[in-house]
Amino acid sequence: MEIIINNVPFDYEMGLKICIAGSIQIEGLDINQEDTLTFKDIAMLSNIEQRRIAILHFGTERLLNEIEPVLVSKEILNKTTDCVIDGMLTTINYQDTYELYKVSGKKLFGEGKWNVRDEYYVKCRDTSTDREYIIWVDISSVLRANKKSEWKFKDGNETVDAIECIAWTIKTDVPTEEIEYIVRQGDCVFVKTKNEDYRKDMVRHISKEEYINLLKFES
Amino acid sequence: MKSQVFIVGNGGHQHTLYGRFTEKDGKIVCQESCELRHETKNGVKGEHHTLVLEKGLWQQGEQVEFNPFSGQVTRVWD
Repeated sequence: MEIIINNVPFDYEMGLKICIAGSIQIEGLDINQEDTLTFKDIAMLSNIEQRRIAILHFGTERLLNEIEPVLVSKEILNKTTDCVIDGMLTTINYQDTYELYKVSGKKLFGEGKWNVRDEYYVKCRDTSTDREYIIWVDISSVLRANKKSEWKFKDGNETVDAIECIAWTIKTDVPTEEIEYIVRQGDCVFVKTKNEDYRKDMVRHISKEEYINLLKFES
Repeated sequence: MKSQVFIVGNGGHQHTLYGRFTEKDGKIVCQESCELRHETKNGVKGEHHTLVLEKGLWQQGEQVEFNPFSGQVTRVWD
């Protein structure tokens, strides 16, 4: 059985937790129960839209209290994109803001855990819908994709920024020199290639440089 | 006009390419400018604006995210 919250379906158990946390009245649902929703429950959701709705009802203040995320980097990109609106090709200028947060491994996994690393997520705003999402990234892999040293990073002698992290979320097997440009519509990515016969790379995460220079159209 | 759905999200929306194109194993050849629409199964416009894929060769990529609890990198679903 599913529970629909803000037009997004959740399985019954998670949906009930969110309804209790957010005092959402749904006919036939008893929300006068202990609020047991945790940020971990939300982070475990595999669907980004479900996570957005869950955080909305969980509350930002509660989120901050529970996991105490630390802002590592805030980057604002001025973007231009062409899209079709009402049948007309239209150019839109807009700003995208990306914030990179670090969460202590002990906060995230529990104080009793050892050998846990700090984890990172990017908070970004959807270009078309103006909604905020969080996307977790594998920071070691982000560093590798941007040819940075993980050892230096661990020693505090290397930095990582929000654009490197949001770039990491895009994967392709097209070599850099063969990419003409990239188009992204939500979670749907297409890469325009320069030549038909090129040797495919292994599937890889793109770098900040590729993100800035090659991601041409987005919605 | 040909159409093909490339991604179906579990929010009920899908990404559909319209126009003259061929596709095999994620490799797309657009014989003319094609439209990538975000829509419901019934063709009602979704949340994202329609984008144009120009004539030429295209390769499907993907957007991924990390799950710190499982350590897995998986496709983003919306």
